[in-house]
Order: sequence, then structure tokens, then C-alpha cells
Amino acid sequence: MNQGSKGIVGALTLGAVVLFLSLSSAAQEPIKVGMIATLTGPAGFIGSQIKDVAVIVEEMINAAGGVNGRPLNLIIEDDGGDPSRTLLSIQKLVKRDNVVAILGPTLTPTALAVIPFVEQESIPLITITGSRRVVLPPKKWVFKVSLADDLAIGAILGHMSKRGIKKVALLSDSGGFGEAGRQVILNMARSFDIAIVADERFSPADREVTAQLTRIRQTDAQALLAYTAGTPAVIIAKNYRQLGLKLPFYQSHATGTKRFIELAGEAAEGVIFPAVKVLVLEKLSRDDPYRQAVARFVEQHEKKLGPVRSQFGLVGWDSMLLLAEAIGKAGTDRLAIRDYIEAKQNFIGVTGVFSYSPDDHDGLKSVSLTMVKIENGAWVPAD
Amino acid sequence: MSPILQYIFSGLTVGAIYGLVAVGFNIMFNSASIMNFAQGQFVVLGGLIMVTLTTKLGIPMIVAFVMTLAAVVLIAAVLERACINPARDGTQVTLIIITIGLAVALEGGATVVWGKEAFTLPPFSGDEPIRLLGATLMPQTLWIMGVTGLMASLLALFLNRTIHGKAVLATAADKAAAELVGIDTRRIVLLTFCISAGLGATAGIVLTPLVLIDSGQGFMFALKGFAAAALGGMGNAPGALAAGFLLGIAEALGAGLLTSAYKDVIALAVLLLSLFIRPAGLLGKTSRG
Repeated sequence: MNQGSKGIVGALTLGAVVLFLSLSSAAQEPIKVGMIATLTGPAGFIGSQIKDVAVIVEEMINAAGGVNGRPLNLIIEDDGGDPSRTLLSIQKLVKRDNVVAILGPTLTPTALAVIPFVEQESIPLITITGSRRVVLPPKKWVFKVSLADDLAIGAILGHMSKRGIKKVALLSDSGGFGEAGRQVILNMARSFDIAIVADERFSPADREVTAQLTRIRQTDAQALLAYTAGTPAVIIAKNYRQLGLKLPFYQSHATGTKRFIELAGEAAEGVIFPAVKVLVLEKLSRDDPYRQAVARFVEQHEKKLGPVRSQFGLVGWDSMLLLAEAIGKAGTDRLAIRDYIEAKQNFIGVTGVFSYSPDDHDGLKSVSLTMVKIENGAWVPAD
Repeated sequence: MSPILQYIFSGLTVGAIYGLVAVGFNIMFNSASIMNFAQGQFVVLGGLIMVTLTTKLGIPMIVAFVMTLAAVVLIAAVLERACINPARDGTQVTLIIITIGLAVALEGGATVVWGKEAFTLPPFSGDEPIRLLGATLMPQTLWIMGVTGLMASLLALFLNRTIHGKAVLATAADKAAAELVGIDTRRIVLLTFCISAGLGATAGIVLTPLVLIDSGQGFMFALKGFAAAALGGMGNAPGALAAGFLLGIAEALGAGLLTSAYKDVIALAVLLLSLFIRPAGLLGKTSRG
């Protein structure tokens, strides 16, 4: 072959390769979904777990062929819990990355900060915070796929009421979580025929609460509800044990993490709290409606991230699966995705069953919650 | 069962912690006229380093204790030479700002290394509450009080019976005079900074089994320690110790008998009140030499 022929063959080969590549990549062009999570800062551990689970779902979906043959590409931004950074993140995701929808953010203030933007840009926002405020009143483009704090509290009060408890001592922290919970508890208690006979507070920075517990001991409370999260929950448990209190001991759903048991040790025994059914899969009955969804979650989680240690990541699972379903059925047009979700009925997630409507973008119809007790360092159903 | 006794026991627990931090605060103020707001960070570092050495690396407690002290003292020495010594001729305000800056930097560094979560250590002699006269006390509290007492005594022995200790006292009494008799006051400042860091680290190690430790607590320890030192009379070590206990008990009694929501306010109110009545603090000198 002379030089000229080699050149022509080379050019044709190159052309064929390029054509082949472009054809195959067009068929596999990824669907871009944005996610804003708080990965750093005090709430970083929450956002990190949500992100880890969302990534499992992305991998799971792509391993099964993607959505309509196209892989999902989850683009993740960290807002550090700062609403102004959340705004910057969402602007980047929408303007630069051109995502079809957005998951997150992690914290209520950060979510509230970006709602005007999504309404203006007409892009679906699947929020995953615990507060219902993000969807009250419903906004056209904003949906919520998560547990609500008041439902978790309702589960606690319901359990107490079933056990015949009528007088409860409340110990809550003066930070955001404790204060919000305290308000809900004070409002809801009456409807469960429960009187709050002690309303003790403490600062999240306090190193011990024996004084508050001693005061509670002098009342005629029949149970103790300690509503807080993180280190204070551990300290309360230790002090409770030190004082030798024997009242039924309830804590908030934030206690649903193995770390609590590790740090509190013996003091964790007997603590009762509302947990998502994911934490007690082996104890669920055969005909529990959530069993299938929960089993699938646990299997994937154990494969990719190890044993399930806390319930924070669950919203990542439900929100990703709902969004993937919407894209699969309605395509990548933002309005079509939004319309699909708004009309979705009976989405069985691992946190609950969701059915949406134009008036209801919260969708939570029932919750995958069960009351759980810590026994011998493990979670068992509380009778 | 007497709730008051329980409140007092609770007060002794935190009071011992405040006292130990206050003594560390005190010695810096005494010898170098520096109010070291990074004192709280030494407490935090002591606890966190101990956790890493024992839990992550499996080093036996006593060895880890010595290593932790060495590590914190080393960090303090480096910081003193790098940040405090160069500013030794500056005003008090300058030095205070520098120590605040150090506190912020150390907290940030601790957060980068250990994150924001809390850690604990196994209690030194078990977890069973001690029942005494109708109230309960944790064995770890006795450790905290014992270690605090021991540290305070060792410090007193050092200051009064050793030549270096006396040099520290001399510098505290009159810096210029001390220099005139040949004491290198710059090295004294380094020495006392290291001593106060060691005291802080010790406090962190003994309190972690009881009340857990995380990177963000430094400022709170510094504040309470400062309050105790001021209450006891800045520059008076026994005063600082006593004031620490008093503050802890006042907090516990206030939370128990009055209202738990404003516990911090009670402690600071006690401090303010006592400073109005007796500005030099309970046992303080009325003027600094």
C-alpha cells in the first residue's frame, strides 16, 4: 500500500470509530439528577448518610440498565448547612449542569431558602427534611418524601397511651430539635389523654442533667420522655441509670443509631423510641406491608455500605426511587416529571406510603414506624 | 431521699472540672498576665487524643495517659513559641485576642481530625453508681475530684518547693524584679503555658468517661473555667479551685431548686453578683503588683 492509501484507510477507520462512539454514547447519554446535601458541618453526618444511600440507588439502577436504557448521573453538591451556599449549589445544578430534577437539601432552613428559585426556574424539587413547612402551603414544584417529626412523636404518645400512661415528664433541649419537638409534644399530648407533669429543659452543651432528673423524680410522672438528639441523649441515659430511675424511658427517633448504644453502653438498656422498620427487619411479620421494600433496602445497604446502623439515610432511598420511577414513566421533561409525582398514589417507600395530589405535596399517608426497645445492645420491638 | 444532697453531688462533679480548668487559667494569668482562652481546647485535645490512643490504637491506659500529656504539652509549647512569645511585649488585649484566635484554630483543627461526633472512654473503675446517704455518685466523679486535688497539690508543691516553681512565683509577683535577679521570664511563660496545657489535658482525660468529649466543647470549658477563676480571684489558685466547686454546686442547686431552663444564667448571675460585691473575687488580692 502506498502512503496515500494508508492515509485514506486511516481516515476511514478513524471516522468509523468516531461515528461508532458517538452513536453509542448518544444512546447512553446520562440523565442528570442534582442532589444538594449537607456533607460538612454539624449536620454533616446526616447529609453524608443520605448521600451514601442515594449513591447506592444510583448504582443499583444503572447496574440494571439505567432508566429507559440511559444511566442516571447523580451530581452532588455540598452546602455545609448554610442556606446561602444551598442557593449557590442549586444555581449551579440548574444553570450549569442542567439537571432534570433536584433531591434535597438536608436541613429545613436550607430547603426553605431555595424554594423561590425552583418555583421561578420550574424544576422539580424533592425535599427530604423532617418539617412539613416546606410543603405547607403546597408549591407547584416542591414535594416532600420523608417522615414528619409529628408522626414520630405521635407514635411515642400512642405507645404510652396504650400502656395506660397518663402522666409524662418531658426533658427537652433548648436547641432547634428539642424546642420544635417540645412544642409538638405539648400540643399533641392532650389528644392522647396524657398530661405533661414536668417540662424540664437543658442546654445541648450541658454535661449532665441529674438536677433535672432529680426534679422529675419528685413528680408523679409515670414515664420519662427525653426529646433530644446526639450527645445529650447519651448523657441523659447515663444520668438516668446513675440515679436508678425506674420509669419507662422514651427517647426521640434521633436515638435510632448504633452510635447511641455504643456510647451509652449499659445505660442504653430499656430505652424505647420510634424507629423505622428498617432497623428491625428480622422482627417484621410476614404480612407487614413494608416488608418487601425494607428487605430490598437492607440487602442493598449491607452489600454496599455494611449493616444498617441508623435511619438517617432512608430518605435518600425513597426519594431516588420515586424520582427514577417518575423519569422512567414520564421522560426527562421537568413538567412531565412534576405532573407524574403529583398524581402518584401508593408509593411504598421504606419510610412510609406516599400518595400525592395537587393539594398535598407531603403525601405521607402512613408511616413505616414501629416502637423499638433496646435490649442487650440490640433493637427489639417494644410490646 | 434528699434531693438537695443529690444536687450537691452533681455540683461536685462539674465543679471539679471547672476547678481544674480554672487552676490552669490561673497559673497563666499569674505568671504571664495572660488570660488564655485556649485553655478549653487543651481539655478537649486531652480527651480526644486519649480516645484515639486507647480505642483506635489499643494502647494501655497509663501509657496512653503519659503520651497524651506529652502530645498536648508539645502542641502548647509550639504554639507558645510561635504565637505568644513574639507578642510578649504587646498589650493584654493583644494577647487575649491571640489566645482567642488559637482557641478557634485549635477547635477547627480538632474538628478536621475527629469530626463533630462525641467520644467516650471506659470509666476508670467501673460504671456502678455509689449510693451515699440517699443520693448517688458515679465512681468517675471521685476520680475527677481526686485527680483535681492531686494536680492542685502537685502544682503547689512545684511552686513552693522547687527552684523553677519559685521562679514562676517570682515572675508572677513582679516580672521586672524577676528579670533583674536573672530569671528568664520568657522561659517561665513557656513553662507555665505547658503546665496549664497539661492541667487542661488531664481534666479532659478524667472527664471524658463521665460526660463524653467532642471537638466543639472547648469554648464552654474556657468560659466556665474563666468564670471560676474570676470568682475565686484571678491569681489565686486555691480560690480558683474553691470557686469551681462553688460554681458547679450553684448551677446544680439553681437547676434543681429554681428552674432548669436558665441554668447557665444562674451560674453567670452568681459570678456577676459576687464581682459586684467583691470585685477582687472571693479570695483575691485587691491589687496586682
